[in-house]
Amino acid sequence: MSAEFMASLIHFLGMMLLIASFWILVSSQIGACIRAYATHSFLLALITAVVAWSQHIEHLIIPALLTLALKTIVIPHVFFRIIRRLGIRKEVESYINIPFSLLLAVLLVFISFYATGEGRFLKPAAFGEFIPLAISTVFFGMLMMTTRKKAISQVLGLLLIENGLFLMAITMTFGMPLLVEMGIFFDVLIAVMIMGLFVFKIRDAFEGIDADDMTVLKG
Amino acid sequence: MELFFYAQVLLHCLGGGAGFLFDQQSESANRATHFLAVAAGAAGVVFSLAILLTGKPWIFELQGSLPVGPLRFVIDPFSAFFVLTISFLSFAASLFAVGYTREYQRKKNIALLGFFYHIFILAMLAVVTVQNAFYFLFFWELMSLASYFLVVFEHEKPEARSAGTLYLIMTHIGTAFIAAAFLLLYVHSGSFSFDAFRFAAATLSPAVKNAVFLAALIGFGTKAGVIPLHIWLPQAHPQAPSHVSALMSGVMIKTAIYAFLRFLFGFLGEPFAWWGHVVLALAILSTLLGILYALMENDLKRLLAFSSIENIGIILLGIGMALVFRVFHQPFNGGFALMAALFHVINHAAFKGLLFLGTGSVLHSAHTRQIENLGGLIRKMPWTAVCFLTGAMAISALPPLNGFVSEWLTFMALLLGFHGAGAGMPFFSPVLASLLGLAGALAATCFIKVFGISFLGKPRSEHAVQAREVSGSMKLGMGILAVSCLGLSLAAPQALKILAKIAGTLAGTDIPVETVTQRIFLISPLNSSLFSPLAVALVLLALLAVIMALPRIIFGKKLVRTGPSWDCGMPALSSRMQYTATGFSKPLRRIFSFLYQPTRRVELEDEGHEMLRTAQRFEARITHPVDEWVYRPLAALVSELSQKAKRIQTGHIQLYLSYIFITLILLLLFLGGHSS
Repeated sequence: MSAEFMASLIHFLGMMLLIASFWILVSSQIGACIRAYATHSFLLALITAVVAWSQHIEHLIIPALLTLALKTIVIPHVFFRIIRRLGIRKEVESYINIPFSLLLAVLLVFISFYATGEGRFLKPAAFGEFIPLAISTVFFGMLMMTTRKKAISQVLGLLLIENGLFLMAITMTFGMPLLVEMGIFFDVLIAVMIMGLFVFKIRDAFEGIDADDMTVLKG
Repeated sequence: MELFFYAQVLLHCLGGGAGFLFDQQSESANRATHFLAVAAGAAGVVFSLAILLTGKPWIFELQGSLPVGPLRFVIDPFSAFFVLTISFLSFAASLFAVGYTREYQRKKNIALLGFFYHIFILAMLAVVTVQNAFYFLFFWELMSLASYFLVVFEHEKPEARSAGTLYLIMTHIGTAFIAAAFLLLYVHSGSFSFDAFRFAAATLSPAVKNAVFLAALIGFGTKAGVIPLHIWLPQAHPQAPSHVSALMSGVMIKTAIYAFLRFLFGFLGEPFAWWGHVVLALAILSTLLGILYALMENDLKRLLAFSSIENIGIILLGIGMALVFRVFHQPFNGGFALMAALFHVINHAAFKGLLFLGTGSVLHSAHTRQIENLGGLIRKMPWTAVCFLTGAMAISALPPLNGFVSEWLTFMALLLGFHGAGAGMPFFSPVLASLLGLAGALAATCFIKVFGISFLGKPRSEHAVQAREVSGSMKLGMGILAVSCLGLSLAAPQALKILAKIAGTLAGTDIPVETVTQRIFLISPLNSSLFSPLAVALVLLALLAVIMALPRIIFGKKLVRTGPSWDCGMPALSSRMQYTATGFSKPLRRIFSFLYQPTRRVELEDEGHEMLRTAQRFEARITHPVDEWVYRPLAALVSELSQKAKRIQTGHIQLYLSYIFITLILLLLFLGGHSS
């Protein structure tokens, strides 16, 4: 296959990834949110695989497979189980409404393209267009963490940030050494487990997982 | 020779852990940890004396993988002098601690006390020997933290906790300035090693030089307790166990003097005249205010802490003169001033250590530090009384003890300012010398009060009645220091020979030994005066013998008659009719009332008529201007700003996240805007 085809494929996947990010942000149901996250991770795995293939970096296949297994299957599964166990309401509760967060998200994409587009100060190994994409994914994750009320959305936001950083690592350096990648995947998995545990504990302590309740901890 | 150095370090490391092998509150833990400290101190004394006598520096280097350079210790005679001071005092204090720590048995964790005690001593030793700014700061911080934990050892007392917090805040402010000074030098020289600093000293620009000087002055001044940076010292030193107070006042504040000297006479090249003047001004301020506040204190340990401020002032007077002489290219006079300062360093360590240990003995057996509750201890604790009196005489600069020798040297150094020390000094040097004389007189008054009220007269409280002489190890610890107070004076000519070498190296000249000391005499420069501690001691001894013998010869055996005191016809004299410490210091409170701003309150209670008085309360206070006018407004300001800053602390996790978020976006925009 020609390099041109590869380039357009990567472009296409990048656009899909951005759309998936938006999808996470606009979903009003927790379930949809998690599914969107699974899609996002799936696209990430695809991008990694394509990068691995087109640049002939075989070891990147392993992170791609791990992304597929962990972030697309295991973690969403864990989330669904937490929701079931907690029996929480399915709606996403937010400080700002969805159209407004969409507006903010568009603004954030502009900012990331303005600040990091065209390889301004970050010099990627290849696929420079992914840098602003990765940055905007990180921004979306942060936006989610700051505007959502429930602790579970914060965890999802953190995972989204992680996805953004992963994308950055792939395109900046064609991935980190395999050992480091494995370590990161393991960390993410453990983090999800621990945060899941915390969500349960928060519910037990505050009779709800509304992070607002934590203001009573203030001195 | 280096074997003793390794032994010292190893013994301190072992000693730090030794207590944990036993029951942590037991006598065995106490013995293990403190006897190892005694052995380590002895090894350090041997090692440092060997270096001082041979004059050959010893170098120890560990190649590390850190990018800041190797961990390099150089024990040159200057460092060895401080190692000697630290080791000697820790030797005596640890011996004392064996008996003193029994008080904590079954109540406190002695193993932990020993752990921090050993770390504290080890860190001080490292501070005065390490040759790299990065490691210096590390050990400096270690020393501060270990001493913090020792200050709050009796953490069940609220005053110990608050003193500890104040100490921690002040010492970190100081460390920040020290770090700034070192970083400025690092930027200039490109390396953390002291050798590089010295090498690059000649090319420092005046602005950087001044900045480094000021940062070092503030940083080390805080540790040394120079007024107005002293506020932590009278709070923190009294709270630590007494043998630790002895080390803190005796040697810890001297590590700041050590480092300050390294800066002034190594890293900063040629000084400016105003540096010397600033140091002299702060020195005389500390000397006078320190002793004036000591005079008004009735808490033994706080009094001693204030007197430490005074003595740091005396040391700085010597250093200030040395700076002034350096500016006007009089290295010989400068070296002489440095000798005075260095000699006072070790002398103060000896007598202040002794006084703190003596106070520890009093506290140990009478369970109070308030002078007003003591009295009559000389009959119950004769050993302690004799040792304490020796220390009190030494600190009051009475011959033939060591305090007199170094103050005499400081006087001579100050009076040298007449000749070629720049404009103003011919006027200021006699003024400073007479103010130093005033401080000496006030110190004598202060310690007459302490000794007279605490040890003489009748017991003023049940505690004082119950007091008993302390155990052998405590007596020995004090005795060693008391003998050293006399010994340092009698051996002053030998000491000056060693100090002449050190001071000569620092001042960048060769001080011929025969110009400062000949046989038993000490000679001031220009041959203006001569002094021999040994001769003075012999004359005093002879006078004492005559005074003791004469009445016996004249009156024969009917010399001593014992009878009741004259009670003005009113029977039942009680101990409350004695002179009090507050009463004793009253005349000075009146003379210096512009400074003390004393306030008094008398409360009377009666049953309807003034003749039917039931109770009478009297309260007298003095104000501490630095606390009132500098630190109180500062504390209020900080607390107000914190209240304002508290508003952004809502407790909403989302808000905290958005702070990070917004910062990140702004930084990205800034970077993106820059690079395009």
